[in-house]
Amino acid sequence: MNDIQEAVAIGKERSYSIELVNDLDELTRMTVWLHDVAVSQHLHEDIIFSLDLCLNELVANIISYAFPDKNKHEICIKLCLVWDRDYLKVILEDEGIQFDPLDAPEPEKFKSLDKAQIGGLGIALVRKFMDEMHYQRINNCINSLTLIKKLNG
Amino acid sequence: MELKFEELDSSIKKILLEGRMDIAGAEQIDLKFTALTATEKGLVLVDLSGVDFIASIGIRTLLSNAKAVSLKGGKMVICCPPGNVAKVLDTMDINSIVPVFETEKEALSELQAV
Repeated sequence: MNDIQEAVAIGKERSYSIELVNDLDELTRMTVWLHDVAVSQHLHEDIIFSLDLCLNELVANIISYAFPDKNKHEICIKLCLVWDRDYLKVILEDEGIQFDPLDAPEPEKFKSLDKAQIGGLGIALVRKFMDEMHYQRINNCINSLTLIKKLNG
Repeated sequence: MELKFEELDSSIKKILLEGRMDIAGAEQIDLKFTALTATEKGLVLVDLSGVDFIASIGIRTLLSNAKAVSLKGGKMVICCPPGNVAKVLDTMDINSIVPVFETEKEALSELQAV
């Protein structure tokens, strides 16, 4: 490969996307899709685990809470692999009720087993397993969440 | 997911979990798990060596069963979580309320000391 071709290849943003509907059974299809993409791109197993975890948490939340009307809605997940900057970007979009996961409170520290609150851990896990998370509400109808995971370190 | 169960000597129940502890997986084992932990006072060892993925729903399953065991006056401990599963448990500080051990031997000696 000559220099010019290589530069183009390195600068190339590869993206993959999947559309899901708001049904928890769709999480299985999403997980299979994610693993297919991740394995084809030779991502490290720790990176795959982090993506798997965060997408399962966030999409489960969207499916469970974003659509109070219970009608069928689409959720779009776009996975972008940006090779030239050594990170991976995931964009999650839904047309559900406005929800910024960054506003969610941190779960309380456990004091004892008997008093432990056993819910609300999902977003806390996403915060820990991703390097960055950015939210925007687009045109007052789309929740758009961008996750960044560094590929080295 | 699969749940296998064996009665070890000295009245310790060992529960071996296998598969993905996501929403679908947790749903497959929840009833069986609860039936084993909610009945009588007991010592329970949960072996996670066959669990290759855990999400918050899986933590919920573990904590609610540990609570049920504790309410009956028993004790539940966790052992052998593989790397990333251990990282999830550690990140959420699960060890502060349900003891998590790297090996079955350590987990058993914790239970035998009860």
